[in-house]
Amino acid sequence: MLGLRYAGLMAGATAFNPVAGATGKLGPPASPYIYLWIGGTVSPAVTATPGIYTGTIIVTIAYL
Amino acid sequence: MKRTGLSLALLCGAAPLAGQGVVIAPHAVFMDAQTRSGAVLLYNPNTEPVEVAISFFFGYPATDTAGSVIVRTVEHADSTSPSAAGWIQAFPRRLTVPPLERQTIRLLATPPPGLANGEYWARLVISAKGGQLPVTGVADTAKVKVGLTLEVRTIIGVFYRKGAVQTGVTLAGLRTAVVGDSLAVWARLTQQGNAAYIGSAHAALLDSSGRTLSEMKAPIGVYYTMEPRWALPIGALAPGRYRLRFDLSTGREDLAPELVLPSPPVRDSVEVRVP
Repeated sequence: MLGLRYAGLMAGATAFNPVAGATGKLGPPASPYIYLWIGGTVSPAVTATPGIYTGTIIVTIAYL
Repeated sequence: MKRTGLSLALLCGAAPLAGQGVVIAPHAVFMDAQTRSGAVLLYNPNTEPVEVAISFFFGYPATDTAGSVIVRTVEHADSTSPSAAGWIQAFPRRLTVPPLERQTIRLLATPPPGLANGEYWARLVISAKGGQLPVTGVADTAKVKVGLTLEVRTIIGVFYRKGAVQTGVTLAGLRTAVVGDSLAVWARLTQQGNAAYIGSAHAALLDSSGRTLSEMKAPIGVYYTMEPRWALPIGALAPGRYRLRFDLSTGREDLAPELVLPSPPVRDSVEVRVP
């Protein structure tokens, strides 16, 4: 689940497919931020070895 | 993965992680054969240090079959490709930017001897690793704990110009379709000259009296041929005939005008029928 919005609230964000990406306009100064809301679920197996599991979410932003 | 009763729900947005990554300026670097150098300023607006790694690759904006803009990566550029990725270096390549501080990345070009006149391209990747993402909704952390970090990769264009360079664009196949509450617009854009076309696309939907009902403006970079798709919000448009005006110009709000190669505007229009 990914959402893109120009204000700091998740409500009203435009959902998009993270595989396809989304195009937005950053600035000029009247709207200098893009808020990206990321959510997900992990479902480890009951037999998973106890411990700390870590991962990295990579967000790529490309300027045209 | 098999779903079990030991599921951990992650909702990173529940506790916003503000200001991840670094602020980068400018959004494109233009170098020439006289100075052979450039600079990028990084600013860390966060309260935690950010680890930054710098790298280059050869790639350019293109479109997929749906018209979405993507960055096409060319892993093995041949000798005819205008790639500068192999001979531009960044100093430093790894650094830590303390909270609320600035760091400058210097770029140095060492092009091969006998390089032909023209514009050469690379993509600069600024990878910033910040702190831990908040993980919420965890039902049971007695056995399994989850840690997530966020890496923000910002990609900007690097342009090296040697000798006389000129750019332009041709526009063909302008067409539209009403899709829900939007007007989808497609056009085939082909770069001209020996430099990328960096500019803006502007579309306006007019009624029969010439009144603008909806418009959009978006940055565009045309390196070869692409067929982007744009969307204009139109809401519930009354049945009838309208006209879409479309133009491309080299004006950009985010880049210094003296760095963008000028080219005459290109325009076209097409009738839009709403049944």
